[in-house]
Amino acid sequence: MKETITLALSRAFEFCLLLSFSYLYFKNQRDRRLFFLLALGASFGFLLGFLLNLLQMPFAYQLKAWLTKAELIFRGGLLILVFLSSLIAEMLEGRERLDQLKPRFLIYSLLFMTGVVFVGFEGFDLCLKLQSQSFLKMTDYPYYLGAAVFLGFSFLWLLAFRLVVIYLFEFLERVQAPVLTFPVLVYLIVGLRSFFRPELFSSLEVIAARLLHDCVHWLIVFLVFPDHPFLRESFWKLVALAFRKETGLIFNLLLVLALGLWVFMRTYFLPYPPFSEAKSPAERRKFKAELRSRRIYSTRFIFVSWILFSLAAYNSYSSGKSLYFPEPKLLVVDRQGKVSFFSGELDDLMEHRYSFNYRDQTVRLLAIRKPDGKTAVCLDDCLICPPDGYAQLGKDLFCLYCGTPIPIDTVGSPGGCNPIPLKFKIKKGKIVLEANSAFREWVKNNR
Amino acid sequence: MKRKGYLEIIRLSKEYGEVKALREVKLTVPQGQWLTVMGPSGSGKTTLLSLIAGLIKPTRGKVKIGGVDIFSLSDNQLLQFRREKIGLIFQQHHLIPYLTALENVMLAQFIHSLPDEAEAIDSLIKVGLADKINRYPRELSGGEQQRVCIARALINNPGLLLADEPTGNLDRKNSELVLNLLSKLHQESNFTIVLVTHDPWVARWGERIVQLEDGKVVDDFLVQKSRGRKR
Repeated sequence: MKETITLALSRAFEFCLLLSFSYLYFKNQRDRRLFFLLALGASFGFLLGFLLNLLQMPFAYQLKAWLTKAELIFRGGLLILVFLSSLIAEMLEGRERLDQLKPRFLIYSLLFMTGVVFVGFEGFDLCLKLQSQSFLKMTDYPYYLGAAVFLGFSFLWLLAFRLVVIYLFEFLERVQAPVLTFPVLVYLIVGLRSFFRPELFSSLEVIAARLLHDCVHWLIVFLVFPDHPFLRESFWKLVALAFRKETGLIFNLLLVLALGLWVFMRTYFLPYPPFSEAKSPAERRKFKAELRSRRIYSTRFIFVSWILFSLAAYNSYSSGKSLYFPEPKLLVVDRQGKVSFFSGELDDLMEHRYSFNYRDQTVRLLAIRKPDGKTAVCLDDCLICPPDGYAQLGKDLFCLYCGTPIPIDTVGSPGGCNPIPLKFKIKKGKIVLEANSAFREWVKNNR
Repeated sequence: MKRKGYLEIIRLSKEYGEVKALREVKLTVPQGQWLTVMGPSGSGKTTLLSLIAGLIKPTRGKVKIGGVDIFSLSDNQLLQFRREKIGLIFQQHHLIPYLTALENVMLAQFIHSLPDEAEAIDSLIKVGLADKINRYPRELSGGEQQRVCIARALINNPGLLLADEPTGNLDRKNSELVLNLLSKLHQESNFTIVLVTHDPWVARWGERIVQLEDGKVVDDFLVQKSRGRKR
């Protein structure tokens, strides 16, 4: 309970701080350096956290406890200071509120230090993992690896610092507000969970994923493609091409490239306006150059897409640890061609996976009792993705191939991303189903 | 009532260690005026010009161009301001030797915004170099090189042209050619000129003369038209 409360409070802290930054930013759109300093501080904090932990390795655990307490106090103090700054900014009149704050150095320092503290924990955490590795394996190898990682990061940070001092301030002057706000939103959705418990999904992330899933499900399955067997199956076969291992990568690459190309065409090749307000040829050239520069900037969307793509990939890669994914229990096909298992096994309301061998194929099943007491038995497979199966996390099942969340309430209903439902009977406390029909469905979807 | 000028120099001082190059210089130059700054060597003429161009920072004082205090701008803003609002001509031409006359002019366009060949050719035609646009600086005479410099300085339509001894390396005939050209362009476009020279004959081409001595303004008067501009 204590851990949960701490976690919830920490997340609330971080959320509030990010809101404050967004607020400060919108109050003072001219000063893009604020965000830059936050990012710079964050990267520095990562190194600092790493260094602090590295210094105390391998035995100074007291120091670690002390540092953790100090860090928490510092975080709280910073939060108060940031809110105070917001308040001062609000109280000042005029459009350039933050510009009037003297010295602005205070704000800059705050942002920088906040970044340091926030991400410092990441570095600390990473080093802690290496430390436990070192302890468990009775070797110093991870310790040296940690030192190497630290040196690598230090070098990259110094390099980045040098480059941004030269180029980034100028670049930031030209960045539009939505472009800077978008990473903050992405950070809110993707990054929050990673500060304290990297293995957990954040509630916000699950809500976002579920919302997306529901939108797609309702819009495509029910509105665009009515529940017609022929249309649905052929359509989903086509959709499946985009997700299969053989073709999925190419499809996704094409999608991202096409998106980038579209943005490029849309912005870069538009004809120049007449520049009727220009008083001289030089002024006309200037307008033209500014427009061209804006267009070139717009094409940076492509790179932003790629960064988001990488973030999503990282997120998927690092999030699967706490998913519940039991090994399938092997069932035997009886003489009547039926497979069965005890209904009581599902009383824990958790996902149960089974498999049986039939005609040289292994068919996998998924069974779960839903919160309303109804039982669902399905193939551990859907109409779209390859059969990597479903894992459970809270009130959702997650497709392990594409990461789509399926609310457990909807398991047992047919539909693109849902596991394919099977007919079954309950006899003498056992759930019984036809092996042959399950086999036919399995083969049909995995040809 | 005090008259507001396009170029305002307010109590401007520049010290190099113990050497006081400029002492509390105050000047107001209206839009479109041709001001000539005269004075002996070491009187602070070039320092004044460099300060107006924002190439060096003052010890004290302000320079306002079109109402903008140029030393309150950041380095990048000042750079941009200079590109757009100020044209510079030097005694040494500072043309890029491995670029043609046309390319030298287009380079200024590029630094300002975008190169435009047709516009650059027009500007060279205006300074009388229609048949020499593709010549390298070494293939041009001193006067012709200075005319390329004028085209380069004016290509971005600056509000202020700063000229530091523009005829210092030229004989009288070529000097007259260059000054005639400058005078004609000045009348056409009405930009403000600050020209530094030690030659009284060159100074008389302007509308107003300021005399500097030992870093101070010692004389400031309008040129009598009856004196004539030539010789």
